[in-house]
Amino acid sequence: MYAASVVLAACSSQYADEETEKFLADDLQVFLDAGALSDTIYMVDSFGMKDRFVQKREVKQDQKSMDFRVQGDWFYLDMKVSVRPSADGGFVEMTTSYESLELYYNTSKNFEYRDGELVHDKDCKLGWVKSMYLDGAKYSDVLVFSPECAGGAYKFDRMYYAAEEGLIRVDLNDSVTLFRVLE
Amino acid sequence: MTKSFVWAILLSVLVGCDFALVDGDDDSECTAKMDKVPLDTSVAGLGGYTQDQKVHFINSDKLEFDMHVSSAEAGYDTHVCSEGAALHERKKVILEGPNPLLSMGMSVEHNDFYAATVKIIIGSYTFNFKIDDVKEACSKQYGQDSLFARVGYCVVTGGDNGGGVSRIDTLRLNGNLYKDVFKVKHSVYGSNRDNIFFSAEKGLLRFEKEDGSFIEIYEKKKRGGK
Repeated sequence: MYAASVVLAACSSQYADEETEKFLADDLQVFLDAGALSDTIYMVDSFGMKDRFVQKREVKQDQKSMDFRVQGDWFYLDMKVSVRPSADGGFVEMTTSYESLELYYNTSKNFEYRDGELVHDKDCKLGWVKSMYLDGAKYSDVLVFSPECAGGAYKFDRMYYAAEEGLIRVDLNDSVTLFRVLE
Repeated sequence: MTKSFVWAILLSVLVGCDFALVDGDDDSECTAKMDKVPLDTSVAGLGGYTQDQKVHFINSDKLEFDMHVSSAEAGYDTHVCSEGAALHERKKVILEGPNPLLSMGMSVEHNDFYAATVKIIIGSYTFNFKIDDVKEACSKQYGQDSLFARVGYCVVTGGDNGGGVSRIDTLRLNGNLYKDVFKVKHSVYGSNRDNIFFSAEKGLLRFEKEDGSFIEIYEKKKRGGK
């Protein structure tokens, strides 16, 4: 059950001792199974402006790790997503040009599951949508990051990362949205 | 602190022109003794951008949009304050688009070695080029009668990763003629086909990518060009 726990590193998460065996929860394995990726995608904003994004993903099954990065051309977006094993079942980390957010999958913490989102007690959210439609395309296993929870002045309200396709949507402040589109 | 304000600060740092303003009434004992060296007139205008100005652009999809000048500052670098040293003038501007991810930061500064270094950040791109005001160097590179030599400045280096800089006399956009244009190449993707066109008078004129898409300044057509 993926509805476990999310802990912000900024909220004093503790790293496991080196001796503790690290593992990746079965739920997170889907983000490794998607495999390597290297492609060019296009996204259009609410005003109709389109930009090209280059994205790459590396997967190391033996180390149970995944690293994804996407960069825009003249839209200044540089987003990274990584998955790593840990003593608690692994974690997902998201960083952007502006902010760093580490979201820990932890099977032992007290967090609640609400409306399809994993909710931290400070309203930090890591959503996990099993499937969603955008521009007529269906995407499965979509992580939804909501970095505004940490109290900082963030540029992004929500970022949507699909296990297979990578970045598919970005919600910016001031109600501007970027959608993945076909070229 | 608003989100856009935070972004403006970040872009300001990225532009790399972090300076404190020193005006004529500055009473710092150290800076008061220092000479103030203004920017080379060839780029001092840095596009002539003024606070709250709106600059109209169009892209390759024929989408028109405004870039808002959210910041336009000028001042002198106060990081170094020592006897015999000079304060060098710096300028920077920040333009923000309707989509906050589409922002531009531009700065111009100089030191004892170069008349001016222009740095322009657009999205994930950074362009910079230096201008040397040594007439002899210009003459040697471009010829005694070249415009560079006559004006007294020339481009000696620039561009990221060997992108390079060239200068063209005129550029025609939407029927308007822009003069004294710097063409700055960017080669971060191993291609020299990502270019910006910049003039000291108008600032960013055009940004074209290797895939053929572009954004460019979009001014009402003037009779007989400009």
